[in-house]
Amino acid sequence: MRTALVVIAIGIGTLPRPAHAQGQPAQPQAPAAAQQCVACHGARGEGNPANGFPRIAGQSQYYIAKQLESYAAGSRQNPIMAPIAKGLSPEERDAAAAYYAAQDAAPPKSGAPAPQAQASDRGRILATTGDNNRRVPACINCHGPGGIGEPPVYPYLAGLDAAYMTAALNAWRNGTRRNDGGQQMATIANALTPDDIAAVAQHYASLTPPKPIPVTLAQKSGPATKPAPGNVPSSSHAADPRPDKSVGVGQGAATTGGTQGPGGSGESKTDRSGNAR
Amino acid sequence: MATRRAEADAVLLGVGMVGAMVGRELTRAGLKVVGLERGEPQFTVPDFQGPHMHDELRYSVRKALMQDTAKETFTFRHAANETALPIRRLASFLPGTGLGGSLVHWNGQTYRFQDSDFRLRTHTTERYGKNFIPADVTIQDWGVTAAELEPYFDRFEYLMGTSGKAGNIKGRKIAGGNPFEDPRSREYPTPPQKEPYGSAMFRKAASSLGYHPFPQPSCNLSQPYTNPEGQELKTCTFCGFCERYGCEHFAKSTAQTTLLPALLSDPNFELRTGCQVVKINVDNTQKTATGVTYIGANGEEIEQPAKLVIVGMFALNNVRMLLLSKIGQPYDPASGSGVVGRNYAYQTTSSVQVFYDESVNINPFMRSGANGTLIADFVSDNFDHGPLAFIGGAYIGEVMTHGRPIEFHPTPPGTPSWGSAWKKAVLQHYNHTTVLNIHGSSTAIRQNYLDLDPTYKDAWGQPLLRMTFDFPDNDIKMSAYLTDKALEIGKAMGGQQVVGSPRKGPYNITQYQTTHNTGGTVMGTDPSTSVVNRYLQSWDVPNVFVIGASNYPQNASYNPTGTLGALAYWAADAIVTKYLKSPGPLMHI
Ligand SMILES: Cc1cc2nc3c(=O)[nH]c(=O)nc-3n(C[C@H](O)[C@H](O)[C@H](O)COP(=O)(O)OP(=O)(O)OC[C@H]3O[C@@H](n4cnc5c(N)ncnc54)[C@H](O)[C@@H]3O)c2cc1C
Repeated sequence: MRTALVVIAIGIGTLPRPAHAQGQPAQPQAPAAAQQCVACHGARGEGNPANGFPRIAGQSQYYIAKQLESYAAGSRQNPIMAPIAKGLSPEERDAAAAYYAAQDAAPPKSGAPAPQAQASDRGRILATTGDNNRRVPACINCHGPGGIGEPPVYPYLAGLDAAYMTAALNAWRNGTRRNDGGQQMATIANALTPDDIAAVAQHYASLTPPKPIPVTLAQKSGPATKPAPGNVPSSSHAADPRPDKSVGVGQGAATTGGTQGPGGSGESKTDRSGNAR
Repeated sequence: MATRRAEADAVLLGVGMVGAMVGRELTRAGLKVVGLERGEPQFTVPDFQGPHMHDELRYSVRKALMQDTAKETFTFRHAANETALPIRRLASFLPGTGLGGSLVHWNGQTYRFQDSDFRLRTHTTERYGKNFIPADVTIQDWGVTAAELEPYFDRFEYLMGTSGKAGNIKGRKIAGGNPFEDPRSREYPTPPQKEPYGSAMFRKAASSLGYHPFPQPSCNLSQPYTNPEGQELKTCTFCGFCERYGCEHFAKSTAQTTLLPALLSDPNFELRTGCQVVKINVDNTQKTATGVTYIGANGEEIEQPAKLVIVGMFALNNVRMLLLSKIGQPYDPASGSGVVGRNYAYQTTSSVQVFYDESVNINPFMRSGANGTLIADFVSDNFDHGPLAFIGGAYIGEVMTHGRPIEFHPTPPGTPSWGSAWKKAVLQHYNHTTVLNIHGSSTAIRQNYLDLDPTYKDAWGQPLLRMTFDFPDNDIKMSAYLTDKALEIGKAMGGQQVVGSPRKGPYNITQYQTTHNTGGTVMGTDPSTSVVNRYLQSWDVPNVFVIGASNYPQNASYNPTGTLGALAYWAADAIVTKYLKSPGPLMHI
């Protein structure tokens, strides 16, 4: 999915990036629509975890706009956000979302608890491997290795503060948040114990958030932009308990399956038909 | 000397789909069951998790979940006058290995064969006269009807949580479903998956031509579902990595997601993996199986005695196991006598590509293994074959399963097959091309069959299974007629260019078509033309049940596994309610 998205999303980087002067980030100018957000989420979207306001910098425009729409519609319930979202027109939501999607705020202060001390094995295992008995797939399937997200649909989790993550998982659990089509998050959150939720929240709080990936929904072709490198812990591969299947029985031969008909790579000179399973 | 283990009430040969289903039914009935699986144990967590699971090179190209051809493969030839050679790289079909079998990496397209399929010879003769069926076509009736199997179809779909729309509930036609289906007792357990854009264009075009489009019944679930085994499945995310991959989301119905947790926690069940079954042992009377011999993971030969032997090793392996164990008379194509290996059939597929301009975005990567929309107007005998002079049919559908970057490179005819012009064309067409499937039946003919290879052996020194197969003329005709129909629909979909050609011989073993290998241990009511009776019980050795698509006397238009699920429950029910009460033949001739 990620690969495919990148293929399609070639040609990005058209969004304004904040100017940097002599290593000192200049104070960006939030558009009018985003003015109300600044007080709690910060001018750069860095959030204010101490007061319960999450980081939103660099979440995709699609994701932020969708959350605003859900707050307005009630599929994500929150007494603070609901009136604010209702007060914004769809265009204003898009503008505010676009602004925060482009922000490259500093990672959370390291005044927070030292990552390694806090993050437990349980949190890391849930995030990277899942739990078969509880039917919890690993978070990274959708939220990306290291929790860097799979924009535009799946938000990053890395660097979100533990209190926000806990509240979000509990909202999925108790049904005050119902804005994912497939109910994935509800079924997953319901399968987690309170301890699991705390562990996974701690795990993600200990990771560094990714740089913004300015993906917008309406892509025109243009020069390719590399996604910014996220925080992919290299140890997650080293610790992989699975048997190595990298050789496989095809032994490196080119794929010969015409799985999508001619033009699927299986096409042969003598037979251009073939599809189906 | 083989080590002898304590006798079990039943032994399962293979713990794939059939093994898990029948194992569950037998342990529930109180039997002590030992499951022998040649491959590794594997589970959704940790084995199928991302990002590793989306490794196209490892799973699609190198086929990490499939039977290891370095240890065990098949030999192939087109006709009995050729010398067969071993298939060293699987391609045309991809049987799996490991706990859960091929169901781990299937797509989940889940159908019920029609009543006319189950009574093919009788039905065809009744409707078109007794001279309609060519002499070399050995199609026959199954010995069961759709009405008899309905409760078992229903049970299987509710086990799987299949997402679909009924077209006929107890004789009442329901708009939006398949109007050609036989009556079903109730709606599908979950509603259909969302319709992708290409499928929506297909629906519109097919309707405009007077056909009856409906959503493909899917075992990639449209919503969370808890099955009667208490197993909870989640919603498919349309990630595009279904066929050839394990599902990381608990969203594809497999043995892992629907059955295994219940089975494995049953104290009556014991799973042994890494166990290669090499033989079913039969006593001196040749009428009773005493158990099986297998080679354990450390190479030790082990004998597992059992009162009941359940063969569920996948169609091709089922046939081979009976031949290796000398159960049943092997088929001889020269005389037409014998039954084991007879009526091997496949699936006759072709495809049509619809190329749009760059204003139409198909987003092929946003698909699932069994989403999409199709028509059954040309399935089986749903149309008049009289003037056409062939038997069988196909469904036509926009049922694309993926747009994976290594495998999906749509380019129009005339594009060079490599180099910068090819790359440019792929970039131009990747997101603006959709593919229609023509998924057709396969008739059994006298010349196509399976037997043991006289030359080549597996890693344990046993003869490989030899396949002798080419597409029958009947099926070539069918494919030509129906590929034309699909081209018409493609044109009505408004593509700039519509391209496709029917299936032609010779059969190409190096190109993926389907893993829908059928026949060889055919079911029926006449021991001279079938290996097992209508309860899938061996005619020769009544404590051996053989269950798989190998039971199909010929293959129908639809994908086979929905029908196989029904048959597995049907056979398990016969074992529990009839056989266990009085062990012995369930049918007397
Ligand atoms: C890529 C792919 C896509 C598919 N998609 C669809 C679809 O969309 N719709 C559909 O209807 N069908 C589909 N199928 C077919 C479907 O997967 C099979 O019909 C189904 O899995 C058959 O069940 P089974 O129990 O007969 O065999 P399996 O599920 O394959 O189980 C057989 C088991 O026996 C084990 N075994 C074999 N030999 C031995 C031995 N000597 N000793 C011990 N164990 C042994 C194997 O390792 C395996 O675990 C697909 C198949 C493939 C490969």
